[in-house]
Amino acid sequence: MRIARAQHPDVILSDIRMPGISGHEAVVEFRKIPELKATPVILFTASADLDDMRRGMDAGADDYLCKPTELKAIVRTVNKHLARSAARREEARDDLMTQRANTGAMLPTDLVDPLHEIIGCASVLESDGHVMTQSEITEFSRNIINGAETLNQRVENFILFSRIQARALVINAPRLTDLSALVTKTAQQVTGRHHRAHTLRLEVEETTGAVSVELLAKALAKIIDNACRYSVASESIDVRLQATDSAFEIEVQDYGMGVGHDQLERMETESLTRGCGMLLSRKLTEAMGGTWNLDNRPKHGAKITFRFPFPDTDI
Amino acid sequence: MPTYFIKVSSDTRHTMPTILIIDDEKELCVILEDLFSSEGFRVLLAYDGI
Repeated sequence: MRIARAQHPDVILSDIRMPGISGHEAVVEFRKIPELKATPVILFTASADLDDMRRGMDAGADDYLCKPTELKAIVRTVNKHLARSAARREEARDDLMTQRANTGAMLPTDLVDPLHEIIGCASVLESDGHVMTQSEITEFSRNIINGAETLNQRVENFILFSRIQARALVINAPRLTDLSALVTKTAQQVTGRHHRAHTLRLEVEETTGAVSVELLAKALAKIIDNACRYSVASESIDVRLQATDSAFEIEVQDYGMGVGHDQLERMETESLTRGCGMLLSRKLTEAMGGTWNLDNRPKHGAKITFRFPFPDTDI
Repeated sequence: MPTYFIKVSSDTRHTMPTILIIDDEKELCVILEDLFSSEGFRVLLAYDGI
């Protein structure tokens, strides 16, 4: 433990049964050391005792080897974990670079634009409010609220995206939830905000499932929000919820312009700039263990399908 | 008292992957040390987990 703490090895090969502290306990202690959280730990066990192996893996070990093992197999296993660990570090570095690039790309315009709108309108109200008509005051106030809501939305998106990229997204334990109520409420709220409640067509099967309620609502709301923004006010927005034995699916379909090339490109490059709701929705869905599929029909609309498998009840 | 050994030459420590081997079977440790040294690892040995 002292060597590991002082030297930060790249990989640890540890026996399970040792004097003083067992291999299992050692793994738990290694994982408490920030520098060793991701270090591959391979346990050595004298017998193919499944309980021993399971306890080791539960404690946070990456692999195990049974004694006696061919020496070549030991080297192969160690090299395999070193390579994985290097790939994970490389991926983390790439994520960090993407995040930095996104921060640089987004902050100057996406956050500053609505802020300017707020400051500008508030300044006019302050200096000329006494000579403005009531309807002008209402219009400027509305602009301030819109600007603040946009700013709030973009800051929230930015924080969410950063947490997802940094793998620091807090996913609350799934709660058994009335999914039909959740989907209905979210769809009505979002379409209501856009004055599109009358175009909402809900087809919701009564379904209960264990989900992270807040995140699912966010992922769904972003897509319904896009459906409202990118279709004309008279066109329907269809939201369906259906369940099979193994999964539940939510579909959001609009009949607007479809997803543009630039937005598809942002999805592909995972770039966080204006209008990144789709990307965030997909990322949130994947973080919750679901799949997210886009069926894009340029000039005829888009259909997004969220699919979440039910936990295997046989276990 | 816990016993441990670090066998490393200072000029290689930043270029070679470092492996920590923890096992109370000293003979096995020696075999593994030779094995991983020949594979280009910097090897740290410990005979207990303390």
